[in-house]
Amino acid sequence: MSFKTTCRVALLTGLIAALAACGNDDNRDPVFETAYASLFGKDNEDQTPISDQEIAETLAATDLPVIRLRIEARKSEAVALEIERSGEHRTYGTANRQGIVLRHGMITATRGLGGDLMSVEEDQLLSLVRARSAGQARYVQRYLTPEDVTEELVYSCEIRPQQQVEVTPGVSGTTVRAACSSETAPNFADVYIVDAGGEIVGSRQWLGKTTGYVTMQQLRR
Amino acid sequence: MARRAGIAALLAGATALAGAPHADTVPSYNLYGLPGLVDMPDANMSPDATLALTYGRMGTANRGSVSFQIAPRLVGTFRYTGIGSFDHRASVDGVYYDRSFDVRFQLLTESGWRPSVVIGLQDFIGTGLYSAEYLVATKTIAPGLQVTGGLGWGRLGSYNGFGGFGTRSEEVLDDGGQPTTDRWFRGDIAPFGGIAWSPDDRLTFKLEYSSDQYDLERENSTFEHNSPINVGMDYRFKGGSQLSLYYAHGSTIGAQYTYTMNPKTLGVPGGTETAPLPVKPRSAAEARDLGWTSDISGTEASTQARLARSLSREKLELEGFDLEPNRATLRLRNDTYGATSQAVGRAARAMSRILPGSVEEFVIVPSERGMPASAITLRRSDLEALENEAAADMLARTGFGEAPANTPPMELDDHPRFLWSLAPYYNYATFDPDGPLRLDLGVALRGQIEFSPNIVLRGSIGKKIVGNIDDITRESASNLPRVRTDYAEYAREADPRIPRLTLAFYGKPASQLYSRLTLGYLETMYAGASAEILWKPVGSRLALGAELNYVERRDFDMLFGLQGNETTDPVTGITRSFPHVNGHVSAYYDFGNGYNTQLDVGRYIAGDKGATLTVAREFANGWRIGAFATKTDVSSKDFGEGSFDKGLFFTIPVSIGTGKPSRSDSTFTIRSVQRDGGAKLSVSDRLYERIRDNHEPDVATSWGRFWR
Repeated sequence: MSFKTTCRVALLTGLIAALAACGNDDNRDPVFETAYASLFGKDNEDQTPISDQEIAETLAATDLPVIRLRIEARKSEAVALEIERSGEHRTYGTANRQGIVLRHGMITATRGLGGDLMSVEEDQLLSLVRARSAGQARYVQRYLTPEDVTEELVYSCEIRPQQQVEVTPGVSGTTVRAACSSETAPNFADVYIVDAGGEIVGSRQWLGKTTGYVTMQQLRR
Repeated sequence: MARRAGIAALLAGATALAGAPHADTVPSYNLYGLPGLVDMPDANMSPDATLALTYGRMGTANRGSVSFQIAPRLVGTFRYTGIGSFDHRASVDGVYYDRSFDVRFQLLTESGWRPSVVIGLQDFIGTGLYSAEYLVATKTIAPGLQVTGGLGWGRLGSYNGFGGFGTRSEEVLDDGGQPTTDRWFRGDIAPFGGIAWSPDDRLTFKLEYSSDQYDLERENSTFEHNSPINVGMDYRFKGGSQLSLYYAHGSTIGAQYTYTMNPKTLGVPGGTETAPLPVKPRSAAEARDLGWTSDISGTEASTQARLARSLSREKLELEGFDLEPNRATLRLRNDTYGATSQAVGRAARAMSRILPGSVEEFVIVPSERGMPASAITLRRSDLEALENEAAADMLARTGFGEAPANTPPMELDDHPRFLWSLAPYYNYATFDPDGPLRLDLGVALRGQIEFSPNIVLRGSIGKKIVGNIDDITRESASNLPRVRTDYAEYAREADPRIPRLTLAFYGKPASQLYSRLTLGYLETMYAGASAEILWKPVGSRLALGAELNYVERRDFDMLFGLQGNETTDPVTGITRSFPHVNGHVSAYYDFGNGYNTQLDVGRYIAGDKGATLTVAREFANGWRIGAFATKTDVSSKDFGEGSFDKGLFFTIPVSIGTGKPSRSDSTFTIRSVQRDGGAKLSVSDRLYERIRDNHEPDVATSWGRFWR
């Protein structure tokens, strides 16, 4: 490569970096767009755990119900406030506009995490978990594939209540384990902590191949 | 702290059960860029939709290929080969370049005692350099151990063959491009076979007995064939790509890199964009309340302003709005979401949060370049009830219709609108024997003035920074007006260049009819006017269209000048002229299972008349992979190399690379040879792809995104 060519390549590389966001039209070429994303795009997810002080501040700043969420594989943590109620479903939103839907504390959908859980058929599983009873339940998770086709994963879950635990001082709950298996997807085991009223106050739930396990804690209901 | 540790500790006891799903694995690729051993084919098929790029070198031969698993049992390959020190009249500096196409079909899938059986045609439409046919069977006899055996014709019948049916020409044809049916399964037959052993997920060892003794290479090149035994080893990287090393013919070593991807599995599932707003359910009393209708126009204005703001937060645009006591109609512009279902889903949720409670019916009219393209009708109570159910439940209750005659008119408050960008660009030219891949990189300034959504002036100017497309020096004679083969002249002289500068008008003259009129510098080589009309009912898989163009050739500098429709051949000196008018009628049919076809019949730029057939495999996320072929009244001889125009195209959506929603994509077209016959004008913004995005078959295909 001649000196002139080298200079030109350097100039071009500089230009690509400099022009990454030049103009008011965001319809750009996919090839360069992909290059930007892989070169300059940073996962802007907050990797630092949330301190107790931040949680105290969040709780003090609002009267809304609050949950705390941790995606284990990404080591990322967030708090989310309730933003809508529809029947038994509660939608929570994080500051980065990610959404989590709970039904009696069970995560039934996520939005904006990537590889989102789009919807579930959870009636049988939820009723056994809430009742803290052993049994078998059919459970369905739906995801979008990268092709944008809905993929329905059907699981058979074995639910078993386990030990009593003290959730917060003076408040006890029962851990319930649901071991789920499927012929077309990886098996998983969820754990729920259920209070005396049948509400799931904390859980470790499988949200699919992309997200993996998520722990959830209801900080204020 | 105690509480946090407590919950974490309580949950830490949970352990996942072991168990992995059966991931579809990509088989090992051979030197022809298809599943196989070293040089020989096997009967493996890649997972449906696998796209494999290979580059390999063995001895003096370089082979690059792209293979696409068109259907679970059908694979197609395009290969570009350069054989060094090859004595042939078409060789350039001793290198003989050749393009070839293969197809393979799986006759039997493997099960029980039955092996997988595949029939294949190799180089079936080219010069015949690699011409061969085969029938091959592969059986997995133990985990990781496969045995393959087959019978070959042509090249694959050249070593230790026995007499077959008829005789077979061995000639390497000059022009290629014709199906060599007179050779298929003729001449000697020879057996071949081998074994492949994979001790783990990473490594595969291969041993084969080859029935190809490389007659052509031995005669014309410095190739030695000392042994029919070839050995190879593959290493599979984590991302799925493969590196293969070979020792072949007792004389030479080879290496190959294989990269595979799959439009079905590449990218972040569901994307990484932020969450939509949740539906806001109404109480029964709210749903009954018609009190607001006493000031319907005041409420309409304030509601419209709030809705427009809410939509803009979703990167959508309110283009028109109409509010009635029980129904609201939104004319929606979506420049953001590749899936119309997602745009409609987000707009509907925004509407549920803002519109008065008595409004039960939401009519959303996607507006494509100002053309109302359909009407999607949703019931608000369904949105409230089905938000947490399977998306299919909502689809079943969604109505699709033609955009109504009383679609709200466009709001033009923020028009004219000026958009610009300064960004890098690239251009490429393929298969010039002096440099098989040429590339230009530069900077392009693009601008667009939208007088209204359906009247748009747009253009760009590009300045090359580095590149070698202008080094093309080859001149080949053409028996036709040089409507495309002067591309090297354009490449040399056009810097800076204005690839396009057009004023376009889009319209909807009647229900189910869409129109486009484009004036100006329509494409890199032609200026003039292009008019198009499309008939496409909302629920229909069939569409019909027509395009009529009046063009004049642009100056080689790609700026404002024109040079008249007369060309002079640099080799023969013959001057030819071609008509100003060209165009075609088109029929489009969407088979509904991911296959789409288009037939164009008409007059091409050089004045030749004929038809183009395009077949594409399409994916819900916007990938399109297809092939086209044009046959006109120009004879194969007059057409020149390749006999007729044909090629492959790959459309890749931008969202694959970024994980963010986008309507942009990029199309790469590979033509085996660019000649002057069957040349079509390349106008941007043809109607079909834009309009169909909003019609029922396409919206339903990616409906899962409605709730995303």
